[in-house]
Amino acid sequence: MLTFLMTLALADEAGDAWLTKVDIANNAGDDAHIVLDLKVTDAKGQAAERTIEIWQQGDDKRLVRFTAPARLEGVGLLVPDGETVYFYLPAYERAKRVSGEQRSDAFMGTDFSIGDLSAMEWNPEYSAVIEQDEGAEVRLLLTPDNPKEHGHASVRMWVRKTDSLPSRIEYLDKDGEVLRRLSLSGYRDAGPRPLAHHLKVEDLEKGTWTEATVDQAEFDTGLDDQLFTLRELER
Amino acid sequence: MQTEAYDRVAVLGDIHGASHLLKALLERLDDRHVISAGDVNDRGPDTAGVVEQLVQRGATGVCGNHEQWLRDWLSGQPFDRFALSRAMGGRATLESYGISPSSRLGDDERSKVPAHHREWLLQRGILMDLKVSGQPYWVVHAGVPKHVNVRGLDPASVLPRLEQVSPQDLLWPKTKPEQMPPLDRPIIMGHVPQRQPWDGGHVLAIDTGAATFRQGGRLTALLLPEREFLSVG
Repeated sequence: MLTFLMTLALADEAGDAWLTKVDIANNAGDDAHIVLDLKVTDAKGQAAERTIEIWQQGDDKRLVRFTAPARLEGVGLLVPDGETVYFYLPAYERAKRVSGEQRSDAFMGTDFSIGDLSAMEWNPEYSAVIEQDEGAEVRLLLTPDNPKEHGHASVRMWVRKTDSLPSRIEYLDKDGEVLRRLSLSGYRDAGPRPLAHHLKVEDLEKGTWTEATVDQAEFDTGLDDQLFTLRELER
Repeated sequence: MQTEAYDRVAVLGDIHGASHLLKALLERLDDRHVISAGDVNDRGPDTAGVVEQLVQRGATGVCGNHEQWLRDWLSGQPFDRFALSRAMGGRATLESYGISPSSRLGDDERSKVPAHHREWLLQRGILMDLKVSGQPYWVVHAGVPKHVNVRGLDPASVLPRLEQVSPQDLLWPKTKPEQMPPLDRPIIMGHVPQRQPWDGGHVLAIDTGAATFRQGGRLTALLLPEREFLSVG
């Protein structure tokens, strides 16, 4: 009995329930097409602009593609089944499968990791406990099931109680120091759910940051399944 | 914990207001007992029609995470407003009873839910100890959450204790069926929609995305003791 209670003490029923709600809220709608304008700022304060388009169907299919600048056009990521991630450079003959360890790598010079752009759900990879109830928000501490597949030891997430959407996500090292911070703001109704129209991800180790602004967002347009295939990624 | 014993049953996966699929499935079943593995409401257009068919059929079952807000609201308790988001689909449940989601959602609106529907919904437990022709099963909506370490525990005690100390863990966490540990008997679960029902020996997962998948969502019944799946949609 003591062992059982100790085991359960490690669990936090409400933490995982919140994480499931975050996943449900983040993936509302049948499909989505979002265009993001990125401003990537390096440690010297020099900025570069990029544009990516994201197509998503359900909670298990996503295609991400650079559309500007021209030298990056066609670079993309594909998640065809909720788990497998492919990376494609036009210089490649074929797309390459991204290993779990590689998902914490930065995506083409931005401060977004490949995992930031490819993962659609938290619940399958993390367990959560409530760190603090902050009134309008709840603060969760997430622990990855397979730490080796992540470049961080844990994640702290602030979730808005009204709509179960995150306002801030911090990636921590084993000492609890913040490695990267993602801030989500400017939530506005966009079809099936509120959508953060401004995102900022900061790499606190490198002193760089990337800001993303939603230029276009469409939901439930009936995206074709064929969009989420290797053939489309390599097109 | 509910304890039930039958000779033959059909355990239904998540229905989510898809009354047409439920009707089609029930028409293909013989007179065996029907059990819901939870999530009868939300998303699809006709929760009222689903509950009516289940009541008429004499079905029993467990509740899922989607019933939680409805049960709270029907009991006059504060409920999680996230349930009314498009993502959760609770508005469709209210509309199926002729209730405007933007109304006050007080006693006047509650009275539009027939008493026998309210009774059926409120009677559902979280965990069912099921025996079919002598073979025991657990019926629990979300299965065993992955963060619970069952090593060293009596496998028969895991789910009953979780039901007592952290019932939300049996409703919400989305743990893949193949990640779940074997217990003392097979677990029958819904909650995690998959294109095909899955029999992993220790877990039988029967949510096949009725009113959840944009295309190809089906409603599945697990037939026992045959241990066969029957899907419509």
